[in-house]
Amino acid sequence: MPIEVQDVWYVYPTGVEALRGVSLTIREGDFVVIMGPNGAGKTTLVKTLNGLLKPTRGRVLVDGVDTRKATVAELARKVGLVFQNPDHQLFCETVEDEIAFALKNFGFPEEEIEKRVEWALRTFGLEEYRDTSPLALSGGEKKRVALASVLVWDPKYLVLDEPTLGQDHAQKEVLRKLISGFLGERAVVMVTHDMEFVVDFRPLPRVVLLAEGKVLANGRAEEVLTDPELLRRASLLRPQVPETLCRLRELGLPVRTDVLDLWEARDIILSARREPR
Amino acid sequence: MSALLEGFAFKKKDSLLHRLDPRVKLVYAIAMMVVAGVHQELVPLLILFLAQVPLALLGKVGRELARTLRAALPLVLLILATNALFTWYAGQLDIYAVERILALAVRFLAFVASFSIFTLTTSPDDLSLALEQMGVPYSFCFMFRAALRFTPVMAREARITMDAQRARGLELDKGGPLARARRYIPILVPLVVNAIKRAWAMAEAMESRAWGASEKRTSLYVLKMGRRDYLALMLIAVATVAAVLARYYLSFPCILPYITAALGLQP
Amino acid sequence: MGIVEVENLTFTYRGAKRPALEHVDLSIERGEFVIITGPSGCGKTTLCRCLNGLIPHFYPGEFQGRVLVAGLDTREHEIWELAQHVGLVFQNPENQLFCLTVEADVAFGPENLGLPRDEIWRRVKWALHVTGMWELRHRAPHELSGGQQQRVAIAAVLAMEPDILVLDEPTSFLDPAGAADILSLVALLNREHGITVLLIEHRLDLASAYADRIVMMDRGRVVLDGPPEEVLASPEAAKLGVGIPKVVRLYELLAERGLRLPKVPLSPAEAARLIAEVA
Repeated sequence: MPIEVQDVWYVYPTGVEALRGVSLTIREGDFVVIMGPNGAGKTTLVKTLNGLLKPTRGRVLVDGVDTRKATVAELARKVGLVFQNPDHQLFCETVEDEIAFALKNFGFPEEEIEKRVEWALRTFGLEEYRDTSPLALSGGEKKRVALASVLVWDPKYLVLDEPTLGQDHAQKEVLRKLISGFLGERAVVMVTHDMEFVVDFRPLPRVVLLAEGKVLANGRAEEVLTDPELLRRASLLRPQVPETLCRLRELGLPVRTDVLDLWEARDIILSARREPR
Repeated sequence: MSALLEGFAFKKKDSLLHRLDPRVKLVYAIAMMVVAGVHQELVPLLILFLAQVPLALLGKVGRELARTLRAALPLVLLILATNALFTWYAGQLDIYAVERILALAVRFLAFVASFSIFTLTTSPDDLSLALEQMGVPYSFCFMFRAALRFTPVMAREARITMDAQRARGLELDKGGPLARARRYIPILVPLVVNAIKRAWAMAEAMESRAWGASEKRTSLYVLKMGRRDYLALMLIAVATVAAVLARYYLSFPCILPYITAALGLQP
Repeated sequence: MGIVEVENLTFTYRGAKRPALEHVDLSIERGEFVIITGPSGCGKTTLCRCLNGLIPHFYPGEFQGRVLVAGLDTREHEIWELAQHVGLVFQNPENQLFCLTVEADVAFGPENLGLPRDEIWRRVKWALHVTGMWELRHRAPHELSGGQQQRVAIAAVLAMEPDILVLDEPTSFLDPAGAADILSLVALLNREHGITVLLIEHRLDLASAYADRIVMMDRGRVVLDGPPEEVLASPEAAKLGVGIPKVVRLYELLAERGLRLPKVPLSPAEAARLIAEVA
């Protein structure tokens, strides 16, 4: 059963309308990226998925359950939200404890906790840091601990808020591999504005563009991220590949512009070149 | 509790009091403390307390003051109750004692009112500038300003941390007081750690902008006392002296016996 | 002699097992726009700290070699002296703004120097205008967006009238629009006001078009130092795991198939132009 966001409005106590009629469906196995400028409502939207924020109007159904009728703890069991900044949540004395924290909150039995923590340490390459304080780790390692501490309870829907913030290229590749590994039976929802990070995923995700609390677009990455008008309204820069193709077309070369893949672009340029002008 | 704190937060308005130099208002608040501290009787303290109402209206903060006082009532009741209890236990609870206890409560309200009027009509910027110009070392003024500057930031971080931990299944509203206190560790640790990190980052940034370069630091803004300010100071001085003299040279009657008699109650 | 001369610098933080910087040589001329990049932990931030005296005065450790800034040896001058030549802007704008208004923050540095009031005003006005923050000068920092806060941080540093502006990953916490904004501001300061710029940056796709030089570091050492076209297209850069801009990769992919562009493009516009020329 999917997550259904049905015409959701969210108004903050200060009066700010963060979400103005957002509708969205996230099914198992989906890979959705939510993009948009700061203040578009992306983080607000994501917080309605696990009940941290209850819609002012409209409703959010998680596997058929209305989020207004369930506690955050109940919803979190299914919807795992990884926040932007690991410094806002790491607090334990050891990485092992940090990863086990949520499992203890959810009431998992001891042997189950041990098994899962082992799995998490292995999968995220954190075994050598098992007894280290998470607060003493580097930025990239902290991100992995934060991710591990959510995936350890195996949520059906994994929601990541700006996973690439403060990461260098190599660290982002590590994250990409980890995230790709979790696609499949799970659904992954990623809020990000890292364009080049998004366009390097294979397969490419579905992209939802959010601006001023409304959904501007909801479709394939190749269509959404190459459309200059949509990107302009979402204050996003077009990725370098379609941008180059677009300008080539302006200069007279007969090339397609709805392409995100580098190798595909190369082939298109080479074949356009061989064509008589 | 937060209502009480709200009552001391600066409200930006254009009023006579707002335009006065912050040092004058600080002097007023201190003078009120001295005067109210010196008086013991209910009648003068009531006068002192009520005299601040027109001041609050002058500062256009009447409603905010009322809210502060209302929020302070629990504390007032506490003062009344504890004093009444001890006096009764000592077997000295008569009508005069009751009047004295009421006087204590009114004195407390007079303090709250004066400081509230002061902070409601003085921006923190002006306040720290006033302290600076009165000779308080710059580092203290800086700390004061920085604390104010980062309070909303820390409040926001606290909210984010609570959200992040709740998203990991932490239930903050469950359990008895001791269990609940423990559940706040996952909130407090990141907050404290981040506060320390922030202080470090600030120190680096401060050094990089020549903190400590010169003993004689210049200030971009300067508070200048105008005619209105000197006039106000004079009034405060005169009123303070008069009020203090009144304590020693005038005698005030106890009014409770008259009130109870008028109401037909037994003392 | 350049504005910044780093000579055979080796530095180990107190209590660390390995040096953070090893035998680093770097020279920056007046008016240059230099980017320093490299994987996390390569020593970029450490190098920044060595330029304005935070190392060795704020961060003690083993310091070998020499760093000259505007002719001043950083070991022999206090941070506040060096701060008048090197303006350092940090990653997180929030922690660099500690006053209750934008104006007060920009004035903070000159106030510390004990300059006369009208001189402070002159600098504050200039810095706010040049960064486009004059209209917002009475706002409180927490009311501003990340990009605006970073502009104020830059203005606050410019008010010191430094010879060189050093920015440590200023776009880390910003969205793409904010990032592009800050980078074009910095480029403008370099181009039109002659301010020397040293930029630590990961987002090479946005920044490399502005730079005269890119310096690549790895594990405390300088690995590459040259014009962006050379550095980004070199095999060492690819091995380092740095984010090579896609247009540079496109250049390489086309070259592999026989289509060689006259130079390495640093932006999509340039790439399109070069391809159209050759095609």
